[in-house]
Parts: sequence; C-alpha cells; structure tokens
Amino acid sequence: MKNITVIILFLFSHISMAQNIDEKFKEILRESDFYRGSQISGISWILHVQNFKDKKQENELLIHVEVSTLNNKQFALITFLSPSNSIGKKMLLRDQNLFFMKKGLRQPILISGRQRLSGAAANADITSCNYYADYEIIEVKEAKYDGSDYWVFNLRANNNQASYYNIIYWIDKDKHQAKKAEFYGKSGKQIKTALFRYNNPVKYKSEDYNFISQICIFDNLRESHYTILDLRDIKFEEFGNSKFLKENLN
Amino acid sequence: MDNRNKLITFLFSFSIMNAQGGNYIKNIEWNVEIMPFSKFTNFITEENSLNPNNRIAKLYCAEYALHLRPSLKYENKKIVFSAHPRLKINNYKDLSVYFQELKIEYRINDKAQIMLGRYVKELGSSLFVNPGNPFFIDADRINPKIEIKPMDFLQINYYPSKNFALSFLANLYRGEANIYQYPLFDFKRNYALYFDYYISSGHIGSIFSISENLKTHLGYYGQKTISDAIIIWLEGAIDYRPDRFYAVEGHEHNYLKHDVINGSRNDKYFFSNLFGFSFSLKSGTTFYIEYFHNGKGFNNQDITLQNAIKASTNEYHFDATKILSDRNLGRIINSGMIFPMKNYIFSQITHNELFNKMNCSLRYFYCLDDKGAQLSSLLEWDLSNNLQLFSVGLFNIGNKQTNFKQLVNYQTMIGMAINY
Repeated sequence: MKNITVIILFLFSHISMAQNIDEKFKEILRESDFYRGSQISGISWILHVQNFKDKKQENELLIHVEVSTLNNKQFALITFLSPSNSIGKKMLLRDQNLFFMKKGLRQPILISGRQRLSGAAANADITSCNYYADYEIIEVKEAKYDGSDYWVFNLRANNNQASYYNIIYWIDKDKHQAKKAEFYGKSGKQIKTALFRYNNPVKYKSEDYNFISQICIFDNLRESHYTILDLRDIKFEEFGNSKFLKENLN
Repeated sequence: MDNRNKLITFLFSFSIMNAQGGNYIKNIEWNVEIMPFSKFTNFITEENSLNPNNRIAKLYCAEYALHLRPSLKYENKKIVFSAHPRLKINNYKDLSVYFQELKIEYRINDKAQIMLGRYVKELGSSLFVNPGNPFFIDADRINPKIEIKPMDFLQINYYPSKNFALSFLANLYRGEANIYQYPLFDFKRNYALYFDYYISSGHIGSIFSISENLKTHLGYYGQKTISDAIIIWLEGAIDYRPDRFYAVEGHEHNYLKHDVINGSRNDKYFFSNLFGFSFSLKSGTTFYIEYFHNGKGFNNQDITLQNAIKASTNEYHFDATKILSDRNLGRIINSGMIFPMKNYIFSQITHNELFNKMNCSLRYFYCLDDKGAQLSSLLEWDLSNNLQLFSVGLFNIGNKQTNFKQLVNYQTMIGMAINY
C-alpha cells in the first residue's frame, strides 16, 4: 500500500513537473511572439516587402500593418501603400478569418487559407503569425545555432484554418527571440523557411526592448524565390473597437 | 447642370487633390485612376423585342470612353473625409460628372461614429447578388469595371466590442441611383437597423428595414471558414411589399392591353435564399458555387404576359400609347431585380496574382427556370506598377426569350487602368 502511495505521489509530482515545464515553454513562446509584435493590445509598423527571383528583385511593396492581440484573439489590418496599383488593397485578419478587399470588388471577401498562401498575402501573413494562440507545443529540444543555445520548438496547428500545419521554431535561450522558423504543410513537405533579425529598439510600458527588424523568407517549393521584409516605424497605440471590422476595408 | 459646369466642378475637385502633391501627406491620401476603354455590345433591336430600335435601353454599339476616378481621403483622430469625384466621357459626347463617394465620418468616441454623405452601402456575403441588402438593387454588378451608383446616407455606428457592430442607416436621397426616378420606382426613404457579429471562424449579420411606404425587409447573411480550402456562406431575405415591376393584363385607362406596375401583388411576403461554398486548390485557384432562390422572381404566367407585351409593341403608334408601351418595356428591363427569375446557379473560377502579374476570373451563371445562361470573363494584367490592361467578356447563351439573352447577345470591353 505504501509503495502504491509512493508511486502515485511520484506520478503526480511528475505530471505537475511536466505541467510546469509546459507552462514555462508556453511562456517562452508567448515572449517570442511579443518580439515579433504579437501579444500586444495595439501596435503598428510599416513593412517594406521585396520579392526576389534568382537574386533579382521582382517587385516591392509598402504595407502598413496594425495589430491587436487580446488573450488568444488576434486582429490585424494590413493596408497596401504602394505601388500605385496596390493602393486600395486591404486585408483584415480576425483569428482564422482573412477578409480581402481591392479595387473592383464590391465588398470585402472572406478568403481561404490556401488563397492566403498564394500571392502577396502570404508573406504579410507570416509577420502577424500568432504562434502562441494558433499552435500547440508538441516537443521542445535543445540545439546550438551560430554558436548560441536555442530551444527548438516543434509546433502543430491547433485549428484547421492555421496557415501552416507544422512549424519548427528556433528560440534563443537567453533573449527568448525567435531566430529561425521552418514551415511545413500537412503532407510534411517544407514550404518556407524564415530567418528573423532584431534591430528595432523600442520603449514599451517604460521598458526597453529590441523588436524585430527584418524577416527573410525562403520559398522551399521554388528555390530561387525569396522575400525580404523590413519592419520600421514601430508604434504602440490603442485601437478603437471599430478598427478591425470588415466595414473598415471599404 | 450643363456639361460645361459639370466639367468645371470636376476640375475644381481634381485641382484640390493635386494641390496636395504626392500620394501621402500627413493625414491625406490621394490616388487617381485614368481608365480609357472601348466597349462593343451586340444587342437585340428587333420589333417585338424588349428594346425595339434601341429606343428603350439606348445601348451603345461601339463605345470609346474615358473615366477619370480620383480619390481623396483626409483623416485625423476625430474626422475622416473622403471624396471620389468621377468624370466620364465617351464618343457619343455623353459627359457625366458626379461624386461616387462624398462622405464625412465623425468619431464620437472609440465606440461610436456618425457618417453622412454619398456612398455605396454593401452588405451580405455573396459574390454575385445580395438579396440581404435592402438598398442596392442595381444590375450594374455584372461588369466589375463599372461602379454601382451611390445614394445619400446617414449612418450611426455603435461598437460595443471588437466583435460586434450595431448600426442605424437611412437613405436620405436617391443620389445617383437612376432606378428611383420616373418611369421607374418612386424614391422612399428607408430606415434600417443592422448588426454584424464575428465568431472565431466566421461572421454573421442581419438587417431590418422599413420604408416610408411601409416596405419592410429582413435580411440575413453569414460566412464560415470550414478548413484551409473551404468556405461556406448563406444569405437571404424576407421582403414585404418590395419594389418590383410585374406585368398585368389591362390598363387602368384602357389605353393598352397590358401594364407593368409596382402594385398590390407585392403586398405579401417573399422569401429569398442563397447558399454557396468555395473550394481552393493548393495553387490558390478557387472555385465558387452558389444556388440562389429568388422568392420575388417571375413565374411562367409573368413571363407569358411579358412576352405578350413585347409582341404587342408595334401595335401602338400614337404618342401617348407608344410612350406607355415603351415605359412598360423599360420597366421589364429594370424590374427591381438583378436576376428576375426564380432559381439560379452561379459559378466562378478565379486565380489571382498568376505569375505575380495577372488576375483571371471565369463566371458561368445558369437559370434553372428558362435554361438561359451567361458566360463572362475578367482578365487583368499588370504591365507595371502604374499600368494595368484589362478585358471583360460577356456572352449570353440560350434562345431570345430567355432572360439573359432578351437584351444583349454579347459584350466585350478592353481597356487600361493607369494609376497615380
């Protein structure tokens, strides 16, 4: 009987320890989202997108991104500022829903995850990914990368509308900033790889932070294609309730 | 307003915009689209048709036109002002100058705002037709390059949370909506209350409206993301006393054998519903399919009467009867319904940003009642950051009695959009 009690106590302590570890890694994931502009009630930035093919620039876009994350809910309004033929394009991300508006459409349309992954929408989507809310931690390993120590998170989508089914996510052990992400589809095929840089000093709630400044996204399906996203003019602001409604896209 | 004054008004608003310089000055955004195009229409002009000798619809066989579409937006913390003047001119020396949008928004606080002005109010979840919307019944939406004419609105919005919006909306004046003038419908103010509610994987909304002549409407719509490939939606309405022209035997003064009226047969409830879904391939190519049941749509008896009206057109030669007969034909063309039959299947294939340069859409609409169909296509090709070439094609299929083909056989439009 005593032995059984010891075993049960051991099991409980192990479960509790596992829960603590789980909570710890969730918190690290949440913190890494924060450095990418997620888990904040109101933030905006300007995104300069350059698409390359065979090292030659194909096109570039200037986008205004406004994001609000409340608990597990994420809202993002993406407004295309240039070039001229992109003016009028807007996207509204509300959790798993993405509404899209452009000139010629009578009203915003709800587009699917697959449409989201093709065209200009795809890369803007990566910048506003909310890994903490949309993905569950399957496994965490340790690894060295460029001489630093990293947690390597294996993340799986917790809903069937998430853009990517599986993400391998490298988070710096000291700074809790993500360095690299590998995006996989349901078939297990690697779709994209992203590298993150942090060189945007900001003050948030009287504390100094170094926010994300650049994301390089490599297309694993079309190897000569890659995209560079530069983030600037980061501002913290509170948005009214009407900001992230479909009506605002008109 | 004569053409000269129209031009001066337009140039004045255009010069105000250009005086700002650059597309983005603090709080001000502006953009100009210059759209030259040519449009060729093959239409039916026979006697005993809806448009004998083209005197009813007054369509252009070959139109060469220039549309100037500037837009200006000024925004500060409390006020948003937007102006979208329009100038249209064609080879028939038709000049029109008007505001597609002239609107001011005042943000009372984070949760409330008031809007006043001229604009198009879109509601609903369908790509093709919005039975849930009580305000816009124009048929212009067949061609995506042609804008729907706006009306004048007062709107008060209340946002209790980020997921919920409640609005009061009234159309104060007909604005540019030509369907609300003689010999078509009388303009009556319509007062509406509507809400939009967002769920994590979708969106629902409903609108209730009542007009000065007690026309009532309950519209509803919803969309849901099922998976990364599939989206479903529905939309519908219950209408009492809608604006709808239908044919009747006899005429109140016995001038004609038939009349087309917006009368007491509309004093009942009409139920319309629409269900749709879209499926996206991994490449982003998306298929859309919708079934639309139009409760207000015409039945066989209505169509028989309409055909009798068309057949009797050449019986009326005197001024008064000819005018009334032509008025009847005009009312059949503008019946108050975009799709005037009862049952339709709509489908579309779309691929956007093909090679990062092209958007393509192919649409096929099929009427289950008269077996008529319409095939249309849209191709947009971005030649540079400022220049886009486009073409719109429309081909009606079926016999001359089918609704799609009774007016137009086919239409092609080729043009360019230059953006600054």
